[in-house]
Amino acid sequence: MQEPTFLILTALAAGAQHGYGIMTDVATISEGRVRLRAGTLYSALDRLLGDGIVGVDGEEVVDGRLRRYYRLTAAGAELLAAEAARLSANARIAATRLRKLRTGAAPAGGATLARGVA
Amino acid sequence: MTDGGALERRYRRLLAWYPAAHRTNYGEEMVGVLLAAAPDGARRPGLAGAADLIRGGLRARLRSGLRWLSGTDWPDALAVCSIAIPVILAGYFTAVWLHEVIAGIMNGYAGPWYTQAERGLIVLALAMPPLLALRWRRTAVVMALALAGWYLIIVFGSLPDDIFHLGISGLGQWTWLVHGDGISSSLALLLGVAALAWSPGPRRGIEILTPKSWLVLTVPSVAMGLTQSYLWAQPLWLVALIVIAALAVVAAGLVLTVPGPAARGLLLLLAAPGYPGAVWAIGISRYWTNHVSGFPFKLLLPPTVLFACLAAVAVWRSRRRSAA
Repeated sequence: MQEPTFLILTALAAGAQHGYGIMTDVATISEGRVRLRAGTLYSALDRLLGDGIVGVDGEEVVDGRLRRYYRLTAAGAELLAAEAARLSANARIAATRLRKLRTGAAPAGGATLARGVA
Repeated sequence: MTDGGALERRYRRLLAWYPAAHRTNYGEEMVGVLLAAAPDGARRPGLAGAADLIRGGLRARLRSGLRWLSGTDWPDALAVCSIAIPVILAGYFTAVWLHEVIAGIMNGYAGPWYTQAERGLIVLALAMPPLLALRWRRTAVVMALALAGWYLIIVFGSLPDDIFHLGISGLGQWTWLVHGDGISSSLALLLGVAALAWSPGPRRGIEILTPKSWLVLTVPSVAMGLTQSYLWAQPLWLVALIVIAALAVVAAGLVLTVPGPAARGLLLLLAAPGYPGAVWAIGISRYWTNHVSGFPFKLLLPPTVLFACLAAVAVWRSRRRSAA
């Protein structure tokens, strides 16, 4: 999963949001590092809607303009949970190896580390 | 007009990069988001924002094209090719033959008998594989392959002797390459072989095609065979107009008369032999041969290779689906 998609799903995990809300939330989550643009956001939303990862929660008209709210579907929540677990496991392994590197321990094999983490 | 109005107009212009369906679904919403995210007082979209919209639009177009193709029934499209290609080629060669016979009779000399016999044998050889395939598929494939091989040898046989010493710049001198009719027929014959080998076969193709779709497929090839010597005498713009109009009518006719999922595949499969044939037909204009040096080689080869690769991928996908 690409980072913009992960961040969009993370934004929607907080509740239904409209397009501009997702953009600002993604900037907040990533501490300003990722700034989604409208083209990228709507390409991702179109794909995620097609795959059933995201659904439309409702629409309203504000100042004469359509505002559509998007929400995470059950399938989307599962996908996000799996991706978060994968990233988390990778981050734990990276952190463990870095700790060993800093304490000057002998380099260990991947299998040993994996066992250690598990 | 206010700053916001000018900005909105420019954003809407950029949204034209997206397919119509995408604009209908998200257009108004995107304009709202773009204006909300724009800096105060901006009159023009930023360069990065404009590039992002163009990239998004192209991606959306590619995705909608892939969606359109993913719904294609490739085995059925190939089944139609297995019968349509020999019929189109046989129709064309019969028309050329008839035209020569009629012209010969009118001139008082129809040529030696063996020339006529040769023309007749070509038509017979083209008609045989699909007829054989109704009963003996493997024999039909072998015969179609032999026919394609024989034709390729004839076409390759006209290569200049020093072909292997030519650099890329010399490609334009390859006589067999610059003859779009040879490329077109070669690709059509190879596609016919693949269609016979890896599709449900001509019987299924006959089931799919309606009388109207037969007319759409055969009338243009017969008309081309009968009129090509007249086309040659016409100005380039007229020939181009006739060929492009004929292609548009055939494409629209196929979409309207062949069931949707097969028609899409058929259009893509027939594009590989159809494109070089069309360029060649335009190129036989006397204006072109008299006023423009060389054949439109760059115009001919890259799209032909692209269409041929797409057709090869389609055949491969059809095989995978059949195997599954």
